[in-house]
Amino acid sequence: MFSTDLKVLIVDDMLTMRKIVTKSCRDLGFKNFVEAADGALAWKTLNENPDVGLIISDWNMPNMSGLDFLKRVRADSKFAPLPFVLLTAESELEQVKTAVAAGVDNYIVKPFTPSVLQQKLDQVYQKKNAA
Amino acid sequence: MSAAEKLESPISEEFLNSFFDATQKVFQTQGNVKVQLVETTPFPMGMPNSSPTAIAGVIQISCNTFNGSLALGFPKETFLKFYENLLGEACTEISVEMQDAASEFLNMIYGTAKTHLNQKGHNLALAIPTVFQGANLQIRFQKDKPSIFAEYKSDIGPFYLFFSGE
Repeated sequence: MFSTDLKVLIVDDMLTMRKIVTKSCRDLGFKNFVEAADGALAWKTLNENPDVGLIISDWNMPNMSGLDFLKRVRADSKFAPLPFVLLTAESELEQVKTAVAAGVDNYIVKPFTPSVLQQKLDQVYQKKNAA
Repeated sequence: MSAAEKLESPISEEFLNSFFDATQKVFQTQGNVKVQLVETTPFPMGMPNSSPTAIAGVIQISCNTFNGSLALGFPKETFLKFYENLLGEACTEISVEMQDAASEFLNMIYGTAKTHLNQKGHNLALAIPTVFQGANLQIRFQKDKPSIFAEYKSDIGPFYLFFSGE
Protein backbone atom coordinates (compact mmCIF):
# COMPACT_ATOMS: atom_id res chain seq x y z
CA MET A 1 0.00 0.00 0.00
CA PHE A 2 1.12 3.55 -0.68
CA SER A 3 2.34 5.58 2.29
CA THR A 4 -0.62 7.49 3.64
CA ASP A 5 1.70 10.49 3.98
CA LEU A 6 1.58 10.92 0.20
CA LYS A 7 -0.01 14.11 -1.09
CA VAL A 8 -2.94 13.16 -3.33
CA LEU A 9 -4.10 15.36 -6.23
CA ILE A 10 -7.84 14.87 -6.77
CA VAL A 11 -9.24 16.21 -10.05
CA ASP A 12 -12.96 16.42 -10.88
CA ASP A 13 -15.20 19.17 -12.20
CA MET A 14 -17.90 18.13 -9.71
CA LEU A 15 -17.26 19.39 -6.17
CA THR A 16 -19.38 16.57 -4.74
CA MET A 17 -17.25 13.96 -6.49
CA ARG A 18 -14.04 15.58 -5.22
CA LYS A 19 -15.51 15.37 -1.72
CA ILE A 20 -16.50 11.72 -2.22
CA VAL A 21 -13.01 10.77 -3.45
CA THR A 22 -11.36 12.76 -0.64
CA LYS A 23 -13.58 11.07 1.94
CA SER A 24 -12.81 7.65 0.49
CA CYS A 25 -9.07 8.41 0.57
CA ARG A 26 -9.35 9.66 4.17
CA ASP A 27 -11.05 6.36 5.02
CA LEU A 28 -7.91 4.64 3.68
CA GLY A 29 -5.69 6.83 5.87
CA PHE A 30 -4.53 9.53 3.44
CA LYS A 31 -4.29 12.97 5.02
CA ASN A 32 -2.77 15.35 2.48
CA PHE A 33 -4.82 16.55 -0.49
CA VAL A 34 -4.85 19.18 -3.18
CA GLU A 35 -7.78 19.56 -5.60
CA ALA A 36 -8.47 20.89 -9.07
CA ALA A 37 -11.67 21.25 -11.11
CA ASP A 38 -10.28 20.32 -14.56
CA GLY A 39 -7.14 19.08 -16.28
CA ALA A 40 -5.74 22.54 -16.97
CA LEU A 41 -6.11 23.60 -13.34
CA ALA A 42 -4.71 20.24 -12.28
CA TRP A 43 -1.56 20.84 -14.34
CA LYS A 44 -1.14 24.24 -12.65
CA THR A 45 -1.77 22.68 -9.21
CA LEU A 46 0.73 19.92 -9.91
CA ASN A 47 3.44 22.43 -10.81
CA GLU A 48 2.69 24.38 -7.64
CA ASN A 49 2.80 21.15 -5.61
CA PRO A 50 5.71 19.10 -6.96
CA ASP A 51 5.49 16.88 -3.86
CA VAL A 52 2.25 15.31 -5.12
CA GLY A 53 2.70 11.53 -4.98
CA LEU A 54 -0.56 10.22 -6.43
CA ILE A 55 -3.11 11.54 -8.92
CA ILE A 56 -6.78 10.48 -9.02
CA SER A 57 -8.56 12.21 -11.88
CA ASP A 58 -11.97 12.19 -13.50
CA TRP A 59 -12.01 11.59 -17.27
CA ASN A 60 -14.79 13.84 -18.61
CA MET A 61 -14.09 17.45 -17.65
CA PRO A 62 -14.26 20.83 -19.40
CA ASN A 63 -11.17 22.72 -20.61
CA MET A 64 -8.82 19.73 -20.35
CA SER A 65 -10.04 16.15 -19.93
CA GLY A 66 -8.49 13.66 -17.55
CA LEU A 67 -7.06 11.79 -20.51
CA ASP A 68 -5.33 14.91 -21.86
CA PHE A 69 -4.05 15.72 -18.37
CA LEU A 70 -2.66 12.17 -18.15
CA LYS A 71 -0.88 12.62 -21.50
CA ARG A 72 0.61 15.91 -20.31
CA VAL A 73 1.87 14.31 -17.10
CA ARG A 74 3.40 11.37 -18.95
CA ALA A 75 5.10 13.72 -21.44
CA ASP A 76 6.89 15.64 -18.68
CA SER A 77 10.04 13.96 -17.39
CA LYS A 78 9.59 15.46 -13.92
CA PHE A 79 6.08 14.09 -13.42
CA ALA A 80 5.96 11.10 -15.79
CA PRO A 81 6.55 8.40 -13.12
CA LEU A 82 3.64 9.60 -10.94
CA PRO A 83 0.96 7.01 -10.19
CA PHE A 84 -2.14 8.09 -12.12
CA VAL A 85 -5.65 6.63 -11.69
CA LEU A 86 -8.55 7.65 -13.93
CA LEU A 87 -12.15 7.78 -12.73
CA THR A 88 -15.04 7.48 -15.15
CA ALA A 89 -18.73 6.66 -15.19
CA GLU A 90 -18.25 4.41 -18.20
CA SER A 91 -16.48 1.09 -18.61
CA GLU A 92 -16.52 0.58 -22.34
CA LEU A 93 -13.62 -1.42 -23.72
CA GLU A 94 -12.45 1.25 -26.15
CA GLN A 95 -12.13 3.75 -23.30
CA VAL A 96 -10.05 1.32 -21.28
CA LYS A 97 -7.77 0.69 -24.27
CA THR A 98 -7.34 4.42 -24.85
CA ALA A 99 -6.46 5.05 -21.21
CA VAL A 100 -3.96 2.17 -21.10
CA ALA A 101 -2.32 3.38 -24.31
CA ALA A 102 -1.92 6.83 -22.74
CA GLY A 103 -0.14 5.33 -19.74
CA VAL A 104 -2.79 5.17 -17.03
CA ASP A 105 -1.85 2.99 -14.05
CA ASN A 106 -5.38 1.98 -13.18
CA TYR A 107 -8.97 2.75 -13.95
CA ILE A 108 -11.93 3.06 -11.56
CA VAL A 109 -15.51 2.95 -12.81
CA LYS A 110 -18.01 5.07 -10.87
CA PRO A 111 -19.86 4.14 -8.72
CA PHE A 112 -17.15 2.68 -6.48
CA THR A 113 -16.71 1.74 -2.84
CA PRO A 114 -13.70 2.64 -0.65
CA SER A 115 -12.67 -1.04 -0.80
CA VAL A 116 -12.56 -0.89 -4.60
CA LEU A 117 -10.43 2.26 -4.38
CA GLN A 118 -8.07 0.47 -1.98
CA GLN A 119 -7.87 -2.56 -4.28
CA LYS A 120 -7.08 -0.40 -7.32
CA LEU A 121 -4.44 1.61 -5.42
CA ASP A 122 -2.85 -1.61 -4.15
CA GLN A 123 -2.61 -2.82 -7.76
CA VAL A 124 -0.94 0.44 -8.78
CA TYR A 125 1.51 0.20 -5.88
CA GLN A 126 2.43 -3.37 -6.79
CA LYS A 127 2.84 -2.44 -10.44
CA LYS A 128 5.07 0.53 -9.64
CA ASN A 129 7.21 -1.49 -7.25
CA ALA A 130 7.57 -4.39 -9.65
CA ALA A 131 8.78 -2.07 -12.42
CA MET B 1 -41.06 -9.53 -12.72
CA SER B 2 -39.88 -5.94 -12.47
CA ALA B 3 -42.15 -2.94 -12.25
CA ALA B 4 -41.10 -1.98 -15.75
CA GLU B 5 -42.46 -5.27 -17.10
CA LYS B 6 -45.89 -4.78 -15.57
CA LEU B 7 -46.95 -1.85 -17.69
CA GLU B 8 -47.66 -1.22 -21.31
CA SER B 9 -44.52 0.80 -21.64
CA PRO B 10 -44.17 3.35 -24.43
CA ILE B 11 -40.39 2.97 -24.03
CA SER B 12 -38.42 -0.25 -24.55
CA GLU B 13 -38.32 -2.41 -21.41
CA GLU B 14 -34.68 -3.26 -22.04
CA PHE B 15 -33.87 0.44 -22.11
CA LEU B 16 -35.88 1.25 -18.98
CA ASN B 17 -34.64 -1.73 -16.99
CA SER B 18 -31.03 -0.79 -17.70
CA PHE B 19 -31.64 2.60 -16.11
CA PHE B 20 -33.58 1.08 -13.19
CA ASP B 21 -30.77 -1.42 -12.53
CA ALA B 22 -28.19 1.35 -12.82
CA THR B 23 -30.12 3.52 -10.36
CA GLN B 24 -30.15 0.76 -7.74
CA LYS B 25 -26.46 0.05 -8.25
CA VAL B 26 -25.36 3.71 -8.07
CA PHE B 27 -27.37 4.55 -4.95
CA GLN B 28 -26.33 1.35 -3.20
CA THR B 29 -22.65 1.50 -4.12
CA GLN B 30 -21.83 5.21 -4.02
CA GLY B 31 -24.56 6.50 -1.74
CA ASN B 32 -24.81 3.49 0.58
CA VAL B 33 -28.60 3.73 0.24
CA LYS B 34 -30.91 0.84 -0.55
CA VAL B 35 -33.59 1.95 -2.98
CA GLN B 36 -36.71 0.28 -4.27
CA LEU B 37 -38.59 1.01 -7.45
CA VAL B 38 -42.20 1.40 -6.32
CA GLU B 39 -44.03 2.06 -9.55
CA THR B 40 -43.57 3.09 -13.13
CA THR B 41 -46.36 4.96 -14.82
CA PRO B 42 -46.74 6.41 -18.29
CA PHE B 43 -47.38 10.14 -18.23
CA PRO B 44 -49.56 11.72 -16.87
CA MET B 45 -51.00 9.26 -14.32
CA GLY B 46 -48.06 9.02 -11.97
CA MET B 47 -46.94 12.57 -11.35
CA PRO B 48 -46.05 13.17 -7.69
CA ASN B 49 -48.50 15.25 -5.69
CA SER B 50 -47.26 15.06 -2.14
CA SER B 51 -43.51 15.39 -2.61
CA PRO B 52 -42.65 18.24 -4.95
CA THR B 53 -39.28 18.11 -6.64
CA ALA B 54 -36.80 20.63 -5.21
CA ILE B 55 -33.74 19.67 -7.24
CA ALA B 56 -33.24 17.64 -10.41
CA GLY B 57 -30.37 16.55 -12.57
CA VAL B 58 -31.30 16.39 -16.25
CA ILE B 59 -29.53 14.68 -19.13
CA GLN B 60 -30.36 14.59 -22.84
CA ILE B 61 -30.52 11.14 -24.38
CA SER B 62 -30.30 10.39 -28.07
CA CYS B 63 -30.08 6.78 -29.17
CA ASN B 64 -31.71 4.12 -31.33
CA THR B 65 -34.42 3.51 -28.71
CA PHE B 66 -35.25 6.85 -27.15
CA ASN B 67 -34.86 10.55 -27.85
CA GLY B 68 -35.60 12.92 -25.03
CA SER B 69 -34.44 13.66 -21.53
CA LEU B 70 -33.99 11.83 -18.25
CA ALA B 71 -34.37 13.70 -14.97
CA LEU B 72 -33.40 12.49 -11.50
CA GLY B 73 -35.58 14.49 -9.11
CA PHE B 74 -35.48 14.78 -5.31
CA PRO B 75 -37.85 16.37 -2.81
CA LYS B 76 -35.91 18.74 -0.54
CA GLU B 77 -35.92 16.48 2.55
CA THR B 78 -34.75 13.47 0.56
CA PHE B 79 -31.91 15.40 -1.03
CA LEU B 80 -30.69 16.79 2.30
CA LYS B 81 -30.68 13.31 3.86
CA PHE B 82 -29.01 11.90 0.75
CA TYR B 83 -26.25 14.51 0.95
CA GLU B 84 -25.72 13.96 4.67
CA ASN B 85 -25.59 10.21 4.11
CA LEU B 86 -23.11 10.66 1.28
CA LEU B 87 -20.65 13.08 2.88
CA GLY B 88 -21.59 13.34 6.54
CA GLU B 89 -22.48 17.02 6.15
CA ALA B 90 -25.85 17.87 7.75
CA CYS B 91 -27.62 20.84 6.15
CA THR B 92 -31.06 22.43 6.40
CA GLU B 93 -31.09 24.04 2.96
CA ILE B 94 -29.82 23.01 -0.48
CA SER B 95 -26.82 25.22 -1.23
CA VAL B 96 -25.23 25.91 -4.60
CA GLU B 97 -22.24 23.79 -3.53
CA MET B 98 -24.50 20.78 -3.00
CA GLN B 99 -26.33 20.94 -6.32
CA ASP B 100 -23.88 18.95 -8.39
CA ALA B 101 -24.57 15.82 -6.31
CA ALA B 102 -27.82 15.48 -8.27
CA SER B 103 -26.10 15.77 -11.64
CA GLU B 104 -23.16 13.57 -10.61
CA PHE B 105 -25.45 10.75 -9.51
CA LEU B 106 -27.43 11.07 -12.73
CA ASN B 107 -24.13 11.01 -14.63
CA MET B 108 -23.18 7.74 -12.91
CA ILE B 109 -26.62 6.25 -13.62
CA TYR B 110 -26.35 7.28 -17.26
CA GLY B 111 -22.79 5.96 -17.61
CA THR B 112 -23.68 2.61 -16.03
CA ALA B 113 -26.78 2.17 -18.20
CA LYS B 114 -24.93 3.41 -21.30
CA THR B 115 -22.22 0.77 -20.93
CA HIS B 116 -24.85 -1.97 -20.69
CA LEU B 117 -27.10 -0.66 -23.46
CA ASN B 118 -24.28 0.02 -25.91
CA GLN B 119 -23.23 -3.62 -25.64
CA LYS B 120 -26.70 -4.34 -27.03
CA GLY B 121 -26.43 -1.80 -29.85
CA HIS B 122 -28.44 1.14 -28.50
CA ASN B 123 -25.69 3.66 -29.34
CA LEU B 124 -26.03 6.10 -26.48
CA ALA B 125 -23.66 9.03 -26.89
CA LEU B 126 -21.58 10.89 -24.31
CA ALA B 127 -23.84 13.37 -22.51
CA ILE B 128 -23.33 16.01 -19.84
CA PRO B 129 -26.00 16.47 -17.15
CA THR B 130 -27.24 19.82 -15.91
CA VAL B 131 -28.99 20.64 -12.64
CA PHE B 132 -32.11 22.65 -11.80
CA GLN B 133 -33.21 23.79 -8.38
CA GLY B 134 -36.44 25.47 -7.30
CA ALA B 135 -39.20 25.36 -4.68
CA ASN B 136 -41.49 23.19 -6.80
CA LEU B 137 -39.90 22.11 -10.06
CA GLN B 138 -42.29 20.91 -12.75
CA ILE B 139 -41.18 18.33 -15.28
CA ARG B 140 -42.89 18.99 -18.61
CA PHE B 141 -44.01 16.09 -20.79
CA GLN B 142 -45.11 16.24 -24.41
CA LYS B 143 -48.52 14.56 -24.66
CA ASP B 144 -47.87 12.64 -27.87
CA LYS B 145 -44.36 11.47 -26.96
CA PRO B 146 -43.32 8.44 -24.89
CA SER B 147 -42.84 9.43 -21.27
CA ILE B 148 -42.47 7.47 -18.04
CA PHE B 149 -42.52 8.54 -14.41
CA ALA B 150 -40.74 6.13 -12.03
CA GLU B 151 -41.17 6.48 -8.28
CA TYR B 152 -38.59 5.16 -5.82
CA LYS B 153 -38.64 4.74 -2.07
CA SER B 154 -35.55 4.50 0.12
CA ASP B 155 -34.25 4.95 3.66
CA ILE B 156 -33.68 8.62 2.85
CA GLY B 157 -37.13 9.19 1.36
CA PRO B 158 -38.75 9.15 -2.08
CA PHE B 159 -37.14 10.29 -5.32
CA TYR B 160 -38.04 10.04 -8.98
CA LEU B 161 -36.87 9.32 -12.49
CA PHE B 162 -38.64 11.07 -15.37
CA PHE B 163 -38.15 9.84 -18.92
CA SER B 164 -39.56 12.51 -21.18
CA GLY B 165 -39.67 11.84 -24.91
CA GLU B 166 -39.25 14.56 -27.51
